[in-house]
Amino acid sequence: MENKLIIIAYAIYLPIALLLTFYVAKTLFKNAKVFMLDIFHGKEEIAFATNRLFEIGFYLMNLGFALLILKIHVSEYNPFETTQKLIETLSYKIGGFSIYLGVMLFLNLMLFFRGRRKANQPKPIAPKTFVRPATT
Amino acid sequence: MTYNTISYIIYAIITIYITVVVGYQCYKSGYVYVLSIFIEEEISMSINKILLLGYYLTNLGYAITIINTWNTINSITDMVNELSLRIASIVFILAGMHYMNMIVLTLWRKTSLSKK
Repeated sequence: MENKLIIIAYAIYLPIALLLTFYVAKTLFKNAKVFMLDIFHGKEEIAFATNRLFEIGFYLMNLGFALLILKIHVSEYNPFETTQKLIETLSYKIGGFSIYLGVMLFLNLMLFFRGRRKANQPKPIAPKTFVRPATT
Repeated sequence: MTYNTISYIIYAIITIYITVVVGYQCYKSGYVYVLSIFIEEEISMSINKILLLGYYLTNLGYAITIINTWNTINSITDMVNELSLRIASIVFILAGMHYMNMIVLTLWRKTSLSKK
């Protein structure tokens, strides 16, 4: 095992990132059910189904991102050898991921608000066929 | 038992689990959408099942095929790096297809509802 510090860093980063994702997703979509019920005017089945689908997408995006940024790049100019470097890199990754989660959360919230606004707009009642007035 | 073999096994377990769970959840939740487009229960159930089957075939097939392109792994650090990059790419593909499906289904539902 040539570099123990990196493995320790990964072992700290992964659980924190995954737990954070799990917690944020659960909270967001537990409270989003009310929005969904409002958007779909009380129809429970499609509201919860839509909520579930958004939740799945959210989990996928965040899991992918957490794994994507995991790699710690070590080179000659950047040896990963001190505990200080460990703490700095960890804070950079975990903090960055946290900011990303916040951005995703606000994005989802914006989508919910937009959906609610559109759903509450009165639908225009337009005639399906245009009846030409008789000209006599 | 090389590092590569161990990573393939871990990768296969995680990817198959994620694909199957996501697929099943979407199958259950998406039924309402398919039902609202095709209205009849039997047709919607069959279409939903066919969609699920196609999803499993393409995604599991791709995840397994891509094992062919892995680099050699020399240490545990490399293994963690390579594993996370590969799993991340599969997950992002799943996410992309997921959102695309939702957009297509929602548009379809809107046009089918507005036709009535």
